[in-house]
This record gives sequence, structure tokens and C-alpha cells, in this order.
Amino acid sequence: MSFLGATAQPICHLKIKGIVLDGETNQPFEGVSVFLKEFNVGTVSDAKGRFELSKLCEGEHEVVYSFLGYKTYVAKYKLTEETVYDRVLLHTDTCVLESVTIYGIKAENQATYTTAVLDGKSLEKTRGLSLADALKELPGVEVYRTGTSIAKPVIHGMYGNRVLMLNAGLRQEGQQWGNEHAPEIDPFVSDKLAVIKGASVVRYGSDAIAGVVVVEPRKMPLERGVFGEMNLVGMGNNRQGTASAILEGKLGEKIPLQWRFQGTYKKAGNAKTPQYYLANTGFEEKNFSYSLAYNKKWFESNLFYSQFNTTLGIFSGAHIGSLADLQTAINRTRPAVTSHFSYDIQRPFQHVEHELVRLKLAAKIYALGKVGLQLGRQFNDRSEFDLLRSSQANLRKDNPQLQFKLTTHSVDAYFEHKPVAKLNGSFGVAYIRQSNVWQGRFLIPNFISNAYGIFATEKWVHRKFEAELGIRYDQKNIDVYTNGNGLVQKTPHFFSQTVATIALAYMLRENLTLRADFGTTWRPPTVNELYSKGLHHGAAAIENGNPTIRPEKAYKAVVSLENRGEKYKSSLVFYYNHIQDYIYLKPDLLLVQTTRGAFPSFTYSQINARFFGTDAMTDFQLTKAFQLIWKGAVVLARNETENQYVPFVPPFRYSGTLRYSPHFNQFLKKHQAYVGVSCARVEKQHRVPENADYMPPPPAYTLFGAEMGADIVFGKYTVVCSLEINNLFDVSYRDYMNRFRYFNDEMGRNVVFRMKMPLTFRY
Amino acid sequence: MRNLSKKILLIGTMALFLFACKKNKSADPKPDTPLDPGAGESENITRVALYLTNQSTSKIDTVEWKDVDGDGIGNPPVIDSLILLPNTTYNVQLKIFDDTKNPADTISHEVEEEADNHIFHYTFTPKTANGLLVTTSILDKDKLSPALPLGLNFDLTTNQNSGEGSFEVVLRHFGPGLAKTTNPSDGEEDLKIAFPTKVEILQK
Repeated sequence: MSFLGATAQPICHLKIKGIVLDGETNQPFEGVSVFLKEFNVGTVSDAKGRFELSKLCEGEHEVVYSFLGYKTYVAKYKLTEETVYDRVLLHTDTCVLESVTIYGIKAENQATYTTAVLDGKSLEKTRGLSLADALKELPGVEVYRTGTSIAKPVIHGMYGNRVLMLNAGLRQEGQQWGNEHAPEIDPFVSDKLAVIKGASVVRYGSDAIAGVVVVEPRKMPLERGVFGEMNLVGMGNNRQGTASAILEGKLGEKIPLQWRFQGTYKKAGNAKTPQYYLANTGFEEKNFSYSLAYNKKWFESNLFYSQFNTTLGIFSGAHIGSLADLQTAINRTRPAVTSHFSYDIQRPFQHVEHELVRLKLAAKIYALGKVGLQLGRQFNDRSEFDLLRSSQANLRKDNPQLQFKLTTHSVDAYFEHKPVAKLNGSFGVAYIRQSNVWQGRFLIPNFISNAYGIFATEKWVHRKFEAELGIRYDQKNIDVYTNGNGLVQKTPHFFSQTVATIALAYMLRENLTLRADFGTTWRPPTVNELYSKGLHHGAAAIENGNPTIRPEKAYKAVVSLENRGEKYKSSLVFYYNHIQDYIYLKPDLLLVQTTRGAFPSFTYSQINARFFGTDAMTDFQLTKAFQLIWKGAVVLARNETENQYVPFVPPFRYSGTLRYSPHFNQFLKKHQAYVGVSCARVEKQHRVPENADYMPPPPAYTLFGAEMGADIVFGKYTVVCSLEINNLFDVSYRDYMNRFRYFNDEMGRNVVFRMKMPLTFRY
Repeated sequence: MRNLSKKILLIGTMALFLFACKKNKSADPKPDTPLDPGAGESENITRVALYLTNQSTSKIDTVEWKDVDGDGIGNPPVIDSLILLPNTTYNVQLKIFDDTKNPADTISHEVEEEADNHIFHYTFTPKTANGLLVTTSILDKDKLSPALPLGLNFDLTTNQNSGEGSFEVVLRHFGPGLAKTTNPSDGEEDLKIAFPTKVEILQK
């Protein structure tokens, strides 16, 4: 670019024009300083938010947008021949409930807590995958699977109850305790998935022992008109088809109403390992969401509704009646159940529905700050259909053997004060009420729980240094209702805890930030840990709850270094998590006689545990054409009380991608064409407790992949296409983090085709 | 075009109500009135009974394996001993019950109806190798062709020796995708229980 400037006379009559909007209300923003960094000149936006910088020369310019109490936004513009027009959103420095992460990330260097974000092209490469599989792209995040279709995210070696998920600002409340219960969230709802790995953020409350997964719906459209996006994904292995569409718009200035409809449909058949099909592993997912926002300068409201419906087949070959069956299955090299390709889903299968409604209201009180209220309701209906033995199969065809209905109501209210001497802060209260009802086979009892929380945070920003302090008190009542021979008994439980966090961030130089978070979090025991009783068919074990269990308390320290340069992005995270009273299923070392032979029995017990490790990633633009991405994670977990390892912790894994974007050809360059190869290596997990598993951990494996993609332009429309081959050499392998590793190999080669099309109706 | 935005919003919002708000059926149980665990279990084996008919005397004996409070919960199972005479053949009818239902559900009827997907295996293991032998021969068959044994009705024969041992009853089930075989390790276990066994000349 510079040689162009040397040969030709620079053009110096160019302009940057635009409009500045208040990111919270989308209203024009008056009085914002618009500053040209290199020449020390600037202007101020007018009453309609408009600004203009003129007499600019060709080349790159950096413009700084700032306003007191709002996050400073820096934009880079490359001026060639035309006037550049931009629309800039400024966000308040003290953020709305969930926006601590979301907008914090948006403003790049402003997140105090160690956070990993999946967005843009990286997120597009995961379209069609489940939420957990998409999050796996982030360093330090793994998955815990049940077969090929059920996956839960693992953060820093922990999963399930220890990972808090925020879905549209609400704590996702499904039956998270079950290992075969995948999160009921459609990743297409969002264009940004975030994982907060730092010491838990006090705003979100209990359970975030390992971290927080944040799935926030896309921002509402800012311009008038109707817009849309269509995503299509096809997968070869299980012949999975995914279609997801968004249609959104904004009405006129008189009624500043923004709206969105979004829907996803997924259908998959039996997955195939290199040697055989896995019977009954198809699934079908139907999701949709609806948002409506009405914003004025001083008032914001947002209604969000979503439904997630899935029917998941469970691999027939993993159905076991007894311990002897499990041993037989382990000794087989391939499952006894043979199959072929089919979309049919038969018993055993799960059907899960999750409904979420959220109303968010916020009002600015100019002299004081901002108040907000969030109301939420979630309804989770989980049905599990086992094999039927009886001849009455037809009569009971639609009846599940096991059903849970969990209803959650929540209220969050907060107040954010105006910045006072570089201090931004907020305090708030939270209330959650839950009721759970079971039907069918007993696994966990009915309960009604009420939880209250109160918190306060303050953030101090001084030049390149930032400090955030948070404190929170929570209490939770759980009333458990059991029925023994017609006699209903109510057993109350009470748990409470105060937690605190401190997070420090220091910008060493532009794009390079050092962060350190320290904090405590807690997790009250869940009902299955207190009361589960009986034979767990899937696990071939008898699980006993323990009503005397105390809450878990974690002390976590995270130190991270993050570089967000244009050519070189990297992150390095170290963490140490000490968990007092870590709850786990301890083998009783005794066999219990049942009608299906003798099963080992386990009881929920508590130990002290420590999880520590590191995860790292680099994304390095080696040359203009070559990009190298590398990531790796190490988790070490120790049961300190019994001086042994903690089971089901992910083994060491690392992966790399080398991508080539041809630069020599203008056509290919313009269409962002690329090809790439990738490689992932997972070591064997040697660190397992002795005699606590039915089978030794599977050996290490290495997988290769290939990818290519380009933007295809049809007139005004750009269609982003990509082709990806996973497990290129069709390697047979098993993974320690798959509960079905006793029964079958993992999926073989999978060819994935993705397409993203914009739909625009401008006027 | 502004109307397009309005129209889509209106139509879409109305359509939404068709899909939303379909939850919380009033027939659902309330959280504070829980069900009795076990009552809802669809197939709960609580009792297995062997009805033995002595072929020479026609005397009928009943031997039971009972776990009324369900698998792995509460009290351990109550198991009768199988007392047999040497040199005798018994005709045995096996029945499986679910006593949590009222009246008790005879699960073995269902096994009989699904004979093509079930098979019983019987094994006797002597406590000490002293020549004691208990053999079984299944009499009933399924409707497959060629027909394979089922095992709800069988003959049990002792030899001249006396002694102790264990008589194991295993029911294997062949679910979808599994073809029934007579191999004891094929299929999956629906039932696996053992009766302590004594073969002795009765003291009069």
C-alpha cells in the first residue's frame, strides 16, 4: 500500500462521515467527541448524532469516539477514493445485567475477567454443531459426551452442575445434573458465544465453579427495513441437514420497534464409525425464537421468547441390562446391534422441550444512573423413553418411562450508579423459584426451591489499569417432597453463602492485556446429590443420594495474558481451583443384589479437590497468505482427601490449523478463498483413580482434517460457503470423555458443507 | 417497504401464539403431592416364583425370590432355598410378578407373548464338586422358525448324589436389531437371580 502512495500524488479531499448512536437506546447521540488520532483534530456529533471529518488523505486513519461515562471506541478506516460512512454505537461503561461480558467484549480491551469469545468466522465454522461442540473451539473448553448426539461443555475440567449457562440473560434451568442431558440452547440464536473462565462473576450467582457460558441473542437491527440471514449446513456422515433462518426489522422513527424471528431445524440419521453404523443415533431439533424491542432514549424494553425441542435417539448397542452385559459389550470389538443408515428414531430416546420467556426493562434516571428489571420464566420438560418389554407396547407407545417437569421463575433487579470519581458500580437483587415434578420411574424427588441473592460490584478504571470488586450473598431453600407408602413427607434444606471476587486488568501495551482474577464461588447441592436412589440403568450402578451433603465452595485464581493484535492473537491462561467439599459419587465397594444381578453401589460423598492447569492459543498471520492457529489445554485434577486422581477429567489435547489464503490472484483474494489443513492430538488419560472404572482409558489418537471456503457473490448478495472434512483418514478411535466409550468407536469421516446467505430488503 | 416490516411483524407475532403457550397441562401432578416411587415404574420385577411339580409324587412346591421394595432400594431381597430330592424330575413353571401394581402384574405373560425376543438360561453350580448334577431341559418354544426354546416351562432333573449349590435363572432379551440366539452371552439381561439349592433325602 505504501508504494502506491510513493508513486502517485496522495488524494487529500476525502471524508469520513457518520452517525453516533447510543448503544443502549439506539438513539442519536449528541456531543460525542470524534477525534482523529494522528492529526490531533476532531469534531463533536450534532443533535442528530451526525459528524464529518473532511480533507483527509488517502490511507489509514484511526478515529477515537468518546463520551464521559461511555466506553471509548476506536475505529480504523482505510480511505481510498470515496467518502467513508460509518455508524458508531457507544455503550455505557456500566453495563446492563448480562452486558458485562457482551459489551465488555465488544469494546475489546474492556473485559476485566478472563473471557474467551467465539464469534465471526470462527463461530460460522461451527454452525450446525451443538452448543457444546461449538464451544469446544475455545481453548480450555472440552466436551463430555454420551454417544454421538449428546454433549455437555467442560470448562477447566468440570462440567454439568459446575458450569453455569446464561441463556438470554437468564440462568439456563434444565436438568443439568444428568450426564446425558445436553444444554437446551440453540447456538444460532447468538452471533457471539462467550465463556468466562475467570473467578465467577458475582452478578450471576451460584454454581459457576468452573466458569460461565454466555449465550446472548444477537443485537436488534438498527436500521429501518427488513433484513435476514439464512444458514444451511449439510453433514455427510450422519446425513445431517440444518437450516436456520433469521428475519428481523425495525419500524419507523415514530414507533421505534425492533423485531426478530429466528428458527432452526435439524435432522440427522444414524452416525457411522469407520466400520459400522450406530443404530438409533439420529436426532431431530426444532427451535425458534422471537424478540421485540422498544427503546427510547431514557427507556429500554426487550422481550425474548425461545423454544427448544429435541428428540434424540440413544445408541441401541449401549443399552445394557446388567453389569455382565457391560462386560460383554466391553469385550466385543464392535457392537452386537448391527445397523444401516436410517433417520428412524426408536426407543431408547429422549424428548426434551425447553421454553424461555424474558422481559427486560431499564430506565435511565439522569442524575443517578440506571435501574433495570428482568423477569424470566423457563419451563423444561424432559421425557426419557426406554425400551419396552411388554406386549402392551402399542398402548404405551407414547408414554415415557421417566419424565421431569421443571418450572423456573426469576426476577432480577439492579441499579447502576453514574460514574463517581472513576468508579462505576451497581448493586442488585435476584430471586429464583423452581418447582420440579417427576413421573414414571423414580430418580429424583419433587422439590420447590426459593433462592435469593444480593450483590454489589464496583469497577475502578485508571488509565491502563482496571480493578473490579464484587460481593454477593445467596441463600437457597429446597423443600423436598417424598412419598413413602402414601405418606407425603416434606424435608426442608437451607443453604447460604457469601462470595467475593476481585479482578485486575492491566494493559501492558496496545492489544496486550494482563489479567488476574481471584474469587470464591459456591454451589448448593442439587436434588440428585441429596436424594437420588436406586439403579441407574445407563451407568450400571446403584446411586445413593446423601441428604447431609453440604454446599461446595471453590477458591479460584486465574492469571491470563491476552494479545489481540491484528496479525498476532494469542491467549495464555493459568488457573488454580481449590474446591472444598467437592461432591462426587464414591464407590461403596459393595455389590447390591437386584433382579438383574449384582450392581456396584455408589454414594454421594465430599472431598477436597484441586483442579489446575493451563490453556493457550495463538492465531498467527505468518505471511499475508498463511495463517497458523494452535491451541492446547492441560488439566490436572487431584482428590486431596483420598490422595488420588479425580475421574472423568479431559486428557491433554492440542490442535493446529494451517490456512492458506491465496494472495497472488485478485479474484481469489476478493472472494476470500482459503484452503487449510488441521490436526488434533488427544493423549491417553493416565491420571485416573485406580479400580474406579470398568475399562481402562482409551489410547491416544490423532485426527486430521481439511477445509476450504470462499465467498460467492451473486449481484448484491454474498454467500459465504465452506467445505470441511473431519477425521479425514477415517480413523477408528475412542475418547475418554465419551460415556459410550465402552460400546462403540467415535464417528468416522464427516464431510461438512456450510452456506450463509444474507437476505436484505432495503428501502 | 415500511409496511413489509410491519406486516411480517404482525403475521409472525400472531403465528407465534400458535406455537407458544402450549405448556403446563392442568392434569400434571403438583410438586407437593409427589407420586410413590415404584408406583410409576413401568416394569418392576419384585417377585420370581418357581412352581415345582414332583413328577413321581405330583407334590407341588413353590420357591420364591422377592424384593418388594424394588431394585437396589431399601431392604435386600428375600430368597427361598430350593430343596430337591435326588434322582427326581420336577416339572417347573416360572412366573415373574410386579407386586407394586394392584392386583399384581404377571410380567411373565408379557415375556410369553414376546417369546421370539426372550430366552431363559438355567445353570446349576455345585458348592463342591461331589458328583451332584442338576440338569434342565426347556419344554416350551417360541414362534420363530426354526423354533428356539423359551424357558417358562422346563424339566429339572437331579442325579443320585446329594449336596449344595446355586441355581441361576437368567432371562435374556433381544431388543431391536438383535436376533434371538441360544448363546447365553447374546442379548441383554432382563433378569438374573440365583436360588441357594440343596439336594437331600428328606427326613421323615
